[in-house]
Amino acid sequence: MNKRRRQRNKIASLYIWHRYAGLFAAIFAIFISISGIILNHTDDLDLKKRHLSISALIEQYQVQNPSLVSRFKSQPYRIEQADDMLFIGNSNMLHIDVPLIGVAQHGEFLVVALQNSLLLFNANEQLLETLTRLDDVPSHISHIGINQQQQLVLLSKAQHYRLNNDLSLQLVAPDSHVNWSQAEALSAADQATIKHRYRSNIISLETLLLDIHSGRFFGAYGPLIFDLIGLIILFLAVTGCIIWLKQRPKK
Amino acid sequence: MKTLLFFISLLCLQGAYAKGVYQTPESFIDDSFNGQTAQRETVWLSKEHKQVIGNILQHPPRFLRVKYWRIGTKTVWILNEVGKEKLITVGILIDHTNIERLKVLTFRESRGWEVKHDFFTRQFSGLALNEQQQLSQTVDGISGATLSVRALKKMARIALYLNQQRSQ
Repeated sequence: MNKRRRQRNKIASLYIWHRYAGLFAAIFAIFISISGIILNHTDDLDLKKRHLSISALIEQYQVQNPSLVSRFKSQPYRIEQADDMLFIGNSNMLHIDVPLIGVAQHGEFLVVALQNSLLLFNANEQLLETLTRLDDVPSHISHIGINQQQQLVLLSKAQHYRLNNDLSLQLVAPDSHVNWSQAEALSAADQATIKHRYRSNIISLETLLLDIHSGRFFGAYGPLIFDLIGLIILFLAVTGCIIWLKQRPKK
Repeated sequence: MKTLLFFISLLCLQGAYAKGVYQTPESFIDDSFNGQTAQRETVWLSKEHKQVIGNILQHPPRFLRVKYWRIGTKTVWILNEVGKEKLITVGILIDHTNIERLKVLTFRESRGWEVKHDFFTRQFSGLALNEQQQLSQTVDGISGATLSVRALKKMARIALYLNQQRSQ
């Protein structure tokens, strides 16, 4: 009789532990399950291409401000550079690895000059063509502008090059009447906007979800806490089986 | 402990070392034609070309024309496509209708650089385009470099397609 009572007490105690551990783990289980399901559909939800823009969360990742910020305008277009990112208007972003030199319009194209290449965009700010040194674009472009004949001119190492309608470049005599594209003077507010835009394009939503799912988002102890939750779920599985086996009616 | 730290730092640096210019386009063209001067020609994209290339890339092409270099039946194509976020530059040598050599010239991403290795790019040698505008044989992927592999396959298909169009 005593033995049976002791055994019943043991099961009751196990059941209490199981119940509280279950309650504690349930919150995390829901959290991990939801983030896991979302991660399974990363491509469908375009999470790799969407980025974190909430300042507080970006701070958590300690994303640094860009060191180089510049802006050029060629009405109605606005082109900005923040380190290795080039922003065209409000939506497009391209990665670049050289400085932005200026912008000018050439027929139907908006031409963005980088130090060693030209990017041609259409009116919808979509990249249509990239001209590089394989297209005879000179290296070390220092200026881009429009001359009095409304032709696009580049300045590189004191030499002038004209962009023809067939997108070929031609060395021409220096022209003193070129309206060179100039970088805009940026106010503190403008700089802050560009910097925020830069920082809002670093951490993808996929990275954020992966870090939440693994616990890394919650700091150095995050993965350890998630390990503990894993052990609790393991404990629940084992205690659940024991309780079920013990409470099974004996035949 | 020191050895462990050395290997960990080596692993971290691997991505940084993998990025870079492996060969310039000019040198690839030179190698492909054994130093002979090749003729530079251009394919301007028609509406139909844009549609086919758009289907291959799964986005509208970001070029109006493609330049290539030719001597006899051999053509060299220098193409760029985004892997995950940044452009990968590839040189493709085609003889008649088949790829003779494909080489990654510049890799700018921090992941997926394994595609630069010869053991991977060798798989493209001899491939042609079938009627469905797919590569004539399967190219085995590399885990962890899925997007780079995909970009290389797309560029191979575009070079073969444009070469086909050029010779028609």
